[in-house]
Amino acid sequence: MSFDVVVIGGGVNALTAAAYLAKAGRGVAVVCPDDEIGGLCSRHEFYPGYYSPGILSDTSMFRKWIVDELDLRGHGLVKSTSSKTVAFGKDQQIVFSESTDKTTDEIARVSEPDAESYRAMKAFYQKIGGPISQFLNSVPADIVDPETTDLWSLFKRGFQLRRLGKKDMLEVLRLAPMTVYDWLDEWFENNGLKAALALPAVTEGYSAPWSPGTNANLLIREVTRGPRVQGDGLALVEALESAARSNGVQFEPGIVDSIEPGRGVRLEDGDFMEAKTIMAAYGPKKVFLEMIDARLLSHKFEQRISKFRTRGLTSQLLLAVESYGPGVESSASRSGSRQSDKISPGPGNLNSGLPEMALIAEDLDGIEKAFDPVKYKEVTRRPCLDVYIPSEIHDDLAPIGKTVISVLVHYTPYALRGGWTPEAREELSGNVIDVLDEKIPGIKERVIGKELLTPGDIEQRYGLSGGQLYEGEHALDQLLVRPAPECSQYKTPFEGLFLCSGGSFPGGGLTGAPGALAAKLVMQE
Amino acid sequence: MNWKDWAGYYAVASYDTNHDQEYFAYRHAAGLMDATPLFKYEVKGPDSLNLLSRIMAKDIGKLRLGRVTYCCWCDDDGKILDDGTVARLGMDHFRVTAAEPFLHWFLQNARTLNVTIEDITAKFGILALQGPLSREILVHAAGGEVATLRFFRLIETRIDGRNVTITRTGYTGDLGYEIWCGNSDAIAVYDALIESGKNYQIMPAGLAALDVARIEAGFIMNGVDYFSANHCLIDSQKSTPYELGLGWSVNLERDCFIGQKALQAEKETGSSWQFVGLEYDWEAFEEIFARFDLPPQTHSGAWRTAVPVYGRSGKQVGQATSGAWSPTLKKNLALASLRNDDYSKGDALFIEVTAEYERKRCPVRVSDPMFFNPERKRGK
Repeated sequence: MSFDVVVIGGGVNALTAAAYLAKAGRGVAVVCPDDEIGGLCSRHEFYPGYYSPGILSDTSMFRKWIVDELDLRGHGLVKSTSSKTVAFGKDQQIVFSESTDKTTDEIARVSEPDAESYRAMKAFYQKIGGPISQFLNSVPADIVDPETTDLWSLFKRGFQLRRLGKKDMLEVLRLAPMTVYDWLDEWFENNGLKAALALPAVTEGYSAPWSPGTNANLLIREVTRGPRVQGDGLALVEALESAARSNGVQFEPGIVDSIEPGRGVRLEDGDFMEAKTIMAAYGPKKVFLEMIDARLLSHKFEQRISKFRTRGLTSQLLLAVESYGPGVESSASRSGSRQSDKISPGPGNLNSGLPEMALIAEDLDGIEKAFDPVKYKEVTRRPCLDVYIPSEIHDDLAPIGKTVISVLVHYTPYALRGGWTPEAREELSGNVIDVLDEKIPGIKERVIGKELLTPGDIEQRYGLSGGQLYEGEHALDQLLVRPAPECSQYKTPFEGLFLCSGGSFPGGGLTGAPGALAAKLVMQE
Repeated sequence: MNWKDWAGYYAVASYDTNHDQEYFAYRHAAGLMDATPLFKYEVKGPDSLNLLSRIMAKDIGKLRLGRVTYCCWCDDDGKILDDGTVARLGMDHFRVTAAEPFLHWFLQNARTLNVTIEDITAKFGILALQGPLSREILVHAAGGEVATLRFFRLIETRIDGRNVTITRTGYTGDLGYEIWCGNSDAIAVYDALIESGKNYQIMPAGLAALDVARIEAGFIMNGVDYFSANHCLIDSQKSTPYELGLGWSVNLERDCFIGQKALQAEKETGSSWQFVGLEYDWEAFEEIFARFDLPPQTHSGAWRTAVPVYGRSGKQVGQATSGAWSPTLKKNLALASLRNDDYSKGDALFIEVTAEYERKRCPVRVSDPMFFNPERKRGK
């Protein structure tokens, strides 16, 4: 078997890269076991009849230009206009929707001044967003062996930032290394609002609201966000796979045993797939420390890759939940969130009144306190939760009338003191369900099955080093040079081997950017 | 008795006020030295060969069971980090000695390998029994098996009922053995060896005598004749195995190892330095001191304060890093590094000598650094 390009992995970045290269006329094969197509958005049955939607679902940062360039709308992708996230604070709820106006109205219910500030903050992000997202959407400069073009592009980017005007440019330079805590505290008074805005950003790294540099994560999030994909991660992956297949990408359902740079990849069954170009959509640690003969790596490079921080702090609790039908009054429906905007449920679905997405964090200090125990390898008593209820949108994840809830649990240690014993797992699951039940009453007695994936389990199932959901912690030092100076441009010390996972610039999550930018670089080479 | 610091241990420099007797024990009978402060690592597990092949400039894959080899290891740029020995006790069981602590380096490189590395420095004692009569003494202490132990081989046997590993290795360039034993057995083994050696003029011997012997043998020393790349402040302080005359211990044509590319390039383009032995012109040396009505003054033991080496034009072409008067060869010797750009074979060379606070230049003759290499060292 011989191809121009072999892409290893089957997630959003792998499919994006494959689709781009195939579209450009390359003979591309994607090597990935069938049940792992979709990567972090691949489903598995966690309880008889109940399916996990994968571990990441937030598609709001998937790049619009990729949708356009790959014509993903022609492959069924629809941007949602109505998706909502309910932020549960202490004795309050705020419904975030795609429309700033609606969200502002919601915020006004808890704080008039914060509603004003929210609008102003959105306007600020809009103003500074251009140069920053342009930077995040282009191949980074080669900092090891810079050519004139790299230096020129660095200069141009600096110049773009300068065009913001002195005041805004200095503001950007001030806010990026800040703590999320200080930044949000400058704008808002409402604790629940601050916590909801902070939680997704701070949990991208080994960090909490008081950690320096966390504001860069928030900034990047805010300036690259757009409407979600209707159907979230699962729908995004379907569109990408369809685009890849229609451009002629071949899918090879094998497991990669090793990469032989410049030659090809060896599969576990012994087959060898020849390709001059290999694109690895796995994290850098997995690629260099597990898939390549260790002796080929220089000591310095190996150390740099080993030092790339991938400490997973998030567990996933998957819940199979008995009917939470229209007859059951949920806390969300009580709040008067706009039911009419909901996507109408399919035949196996519920009109349960449950939110599709929810964030549960009462205040910034609560997030920080949930972070504290992991430093000592302990289970947090009151975790902060990022809840996704995919059965509200997909009718094929649960039996008729039943519900699947996926909860990302912040924070949990990778190596729990005393180990992740069945008792420890029960304790954590219990803590999570208690918090969930406080906000969405009635869940607790309806849980019929569950699966807890600790960071170690996530590492095993999804091939994420350390169980880190973003293929490497998002932190200032790991965002700009990612994962190491030798690989800052998707290139590697090995001719013909490229990286295209979230472990490369501009980072993890369902953005498609590393896949697309790496493919563009390969097309230039 | 003179003590000195050796890797944080008090080690004996000489048992007497002067090391001469101990030196002659090494060369004419047998000296017994405690070499325990050497850093020692035990490498075990299915990937131990992989690990050592990746670290060492020598192909450890070729090291057969029951053998020991001398080797050095380098950084990515082919600059030497340290030198020592590797002994193969089993298919997946090795012992490594080093002049400096290297556990961290070994562990860093073992990250993805199925191997365990243990620092056994404090767990094992090493007694070096060196000298022409060491074989007889050891046969007396450990039995006839030792009689046939060949150069750079090892056996596991017993002395005074204690398990020991005996390697035919040493740092004197003479017939000699090193005896590894458990820490708690070391005193008993030491006493047994002294007892076995009492009819063979065995002497407890220290580091000062060893230093003279190792210069006669042309053995380089980390921290004296070269500096580990880890400690160098500037690139020019670093050395490569080729520059130190260790090219013979580098096996380039094999799987990747650390520094391979740089060493390959150096082999093709040539080295910047060469390592040589220097013999002082004795009459000229005498003459320098005679001008002050003094007899020639040599150091009483080995010296390790580097001195410049000059060419005929007076340009400095390198440095002598250590040296000694050799009581056996009756020659004044030094080990030196010469810059290949400035020195060609056959050029006249001069070494700096200080007489009555005045710096003079004494002609020297270039020689193989292995000044003393008796047949018995590797013979049967």
